[in-house]
Amino acid sequence: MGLLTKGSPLTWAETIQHIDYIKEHGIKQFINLYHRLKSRHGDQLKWGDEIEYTIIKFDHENKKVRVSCRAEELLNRLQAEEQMNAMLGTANKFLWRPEFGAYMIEGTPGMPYGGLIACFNIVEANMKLRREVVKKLLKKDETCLSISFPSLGVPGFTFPEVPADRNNADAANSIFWPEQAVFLGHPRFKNLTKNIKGRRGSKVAINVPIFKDKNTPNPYVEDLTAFGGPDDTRDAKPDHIYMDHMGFGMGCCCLQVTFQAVNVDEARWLYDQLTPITPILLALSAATPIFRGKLSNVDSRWDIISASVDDRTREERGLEPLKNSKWVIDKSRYDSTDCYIYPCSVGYNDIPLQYDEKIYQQLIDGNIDEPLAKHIAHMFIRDPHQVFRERIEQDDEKSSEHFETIQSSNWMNMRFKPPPPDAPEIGWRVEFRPTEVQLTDFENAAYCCFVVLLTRMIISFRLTYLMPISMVTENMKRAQQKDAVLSQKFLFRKGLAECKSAPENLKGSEKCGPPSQDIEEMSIDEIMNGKKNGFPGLISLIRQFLDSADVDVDTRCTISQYLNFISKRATGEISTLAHWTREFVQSHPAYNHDSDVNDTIVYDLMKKMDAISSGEDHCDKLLGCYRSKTDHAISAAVRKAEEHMIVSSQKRAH
Amino acid sequence: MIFQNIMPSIHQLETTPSGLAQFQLRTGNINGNLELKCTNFSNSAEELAQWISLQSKDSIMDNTEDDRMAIHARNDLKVTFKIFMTKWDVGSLEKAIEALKEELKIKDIETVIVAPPPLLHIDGESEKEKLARWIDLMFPIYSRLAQYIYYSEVGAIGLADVSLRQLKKISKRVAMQPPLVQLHESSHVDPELRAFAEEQEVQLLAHVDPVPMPLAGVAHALTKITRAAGSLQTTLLGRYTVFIRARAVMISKGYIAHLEETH
Repeated sequence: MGLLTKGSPLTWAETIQHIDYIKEHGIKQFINLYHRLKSRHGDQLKWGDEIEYTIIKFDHENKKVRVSCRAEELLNRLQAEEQMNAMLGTANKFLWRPEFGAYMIEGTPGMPYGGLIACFNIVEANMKLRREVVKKLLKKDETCLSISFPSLGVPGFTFPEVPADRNNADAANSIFWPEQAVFLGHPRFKNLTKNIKGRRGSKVAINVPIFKDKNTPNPYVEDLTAFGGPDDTRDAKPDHIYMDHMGFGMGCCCLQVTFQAVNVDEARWLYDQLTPITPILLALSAATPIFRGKLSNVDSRWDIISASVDDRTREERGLEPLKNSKWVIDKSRYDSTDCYIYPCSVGYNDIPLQYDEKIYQQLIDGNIDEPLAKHIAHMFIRDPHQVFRERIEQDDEKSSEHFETIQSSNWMNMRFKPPPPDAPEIGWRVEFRPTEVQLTDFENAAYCCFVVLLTRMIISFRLTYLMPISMVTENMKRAQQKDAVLSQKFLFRKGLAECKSAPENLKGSEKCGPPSQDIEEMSIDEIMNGKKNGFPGLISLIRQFLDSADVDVDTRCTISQYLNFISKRATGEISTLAHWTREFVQSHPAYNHDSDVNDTIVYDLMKKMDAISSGEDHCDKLLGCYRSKTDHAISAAVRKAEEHMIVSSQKRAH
Repeated sequence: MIFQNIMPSIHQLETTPSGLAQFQLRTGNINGNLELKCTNFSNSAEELAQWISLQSKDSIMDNTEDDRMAIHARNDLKVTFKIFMTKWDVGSLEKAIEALKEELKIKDIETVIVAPPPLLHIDGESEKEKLARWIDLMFPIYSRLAQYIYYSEVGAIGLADVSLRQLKKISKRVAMQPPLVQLHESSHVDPELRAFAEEQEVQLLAHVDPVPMPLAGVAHALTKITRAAGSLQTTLLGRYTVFIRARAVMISKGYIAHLEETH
């Protein structure tokens, strides 16, 4: 969702003069925050998920489906309950926030899940209740799905129907995307769209390889004359699906997990340790094979979002010699990370980093260690796009807004999140960002719980899966390929390794040795389920961890169901949503095997997805036969046992 | 049999009444033993057997590792000890608990779970008689556990794989209900047991240990690597774990096993 400060946003042209100031003060804010909170220690595990939903409207008479641009109205109702709770002193069960699309809402648990293993059993119940709460506010012909809508940008894809206006600078001159499809209840999203285009010097260009089916023209060159002239479509590539607005990316839905670390060292360490895992989860969660109503040759939204917010100038993209821009930058501001940040990981940083020397020096002079200074300085090569006239001057001791404005518009596979300056209950956190959102709450809960359990296992066993970060970049490319979970191999550590300088390692100053070369290519199945040669997969290690824990029967059942389900996704016995969607389309009678996913197909697809998502229908190919025992609260017996332990520990103190 | 020169982690216990040598094996913290994690084990006895087999390498594994417990406040930790018994022997139970406290340098244990020995079959015995026999055998063990609770040396006790009838009877006999019962993950939870647990706020925890735990492999592995002349049997296996409660992080795991010479 990003930073939702209120005020009068500056245009790109107005922002330019303030960039250096904002960056300088953003760095100051980070330095102040870091030193004030670097000694914070002892935070317990708290974590939460963020799920994005698309509101969909069915036209049953004409067998069409559109996105319903009622997010602002729905959010007003949902957030009214939050305000009511605040007045009554009642805890929120959920929190709701806007997202890019006027048809999107984002839900999170009202309170983070806690650090007891029993808390893994309440995740899915919370997600289910969230969905029910939204559905109660919908109209009879509407539904709420945790998917990326396949017909974004197709003419008339919104309800109310609004055509795109390529001459509308407010809509970034898109030939497909009307301004009204952007959430307009907060200036952030429209602002980002315009300022990204302003900085780039042209509207964004997203080209996704089209899936070549037997009747797909070869080469595939789409006739876009109905949408615009040559100037409007000059960036369209043959054999690709062309899109030209931030909404095609940020209007996709995703699933994120954020968890709190015990201290800053653990946060940095986990940020690094999870980085090589991000492509694995991206492949395993593949859910997005259709863009602008066409079957693509990728299964994930990742590169599409990357291109949709790519504000690099032509010089930065290497298309023209450097004159006004400082560097050639390889990646968009939405992409995988370029460096690890824990001191002992630096040997694996093999991507040259661009950063402003002055900013880097400001960090070093502010006693920020080198790996972290490089990470922050590299993040700060990106310009702010969200500057509010009233909020340029700030108290750098109290605010972190300038820092957050840049941090929150660097969208990467992992995010290292300092505690907010004004919320003492929140510690150092790490956000895991690559996962594609799934159709059902069972699946979303499974992936979220898997990630958090993985962190518990990695910390417990002090494992490291680090490899050169350039290999993570390579893996991210592979992870998005069609059926990557079955067809691709991924660079991965081939043996178990201990991180000798993991946080809380008592072996004193013992450091990890030189970067390991112990890397080979493995399938997702091997990485997750292990190999016959003794390489234990991630799931098997999580099970070893759980087998040693005191887990109540229902939580154990739920977690086992999640792990078995993910295990089967890894083997291919259960399809990813992307694979299932392709099969649905390709076997639909209205499909002409020409890559075009017409209204009739989308209508039937959405109906089927709605039925599965609501539980009216079940699909073994997509979900297997797994059922959890999720519940809204941990059992009274578990709670009582924990309370008893607290009482005993108090006696021990005396 | 002399093991100590070969394996410092073996302690000699007093001989049995019939004069057989008894030993206590302590693995120390094996949590960070990555080689072990790559071996194929499907239960704790196999894990311990694998650990023993790995001791045959050139150097004894440094399993004591850093004392990860030392850097954490005791109140942040939860120690769980599950004891698989093959004999109805209170003394053995006591020795295992004392060994754990010594091993971890703690005065009390949050949870002790006992998997009682299987009941030997007696031809013609009715279910009622069988239950009564089980209660008589269990009583001294359970009473001793209750004493540990009374003296705050153990926070909570649990029984593994017991039926509702067994649970109710032993609770009544000792006038103390265990706050937790452990059941195999794959077993269908008896609805009456579930209802009882809910009503009485008894935790039902899951385990994946075979019932009974096949312990033969432990003694076999030890005999093999020490090339001891006699033969051994495992009479008790204790598995302990230490978790940081509010972070769901395991910092220590190990085994304490009792072995006895056979005739």
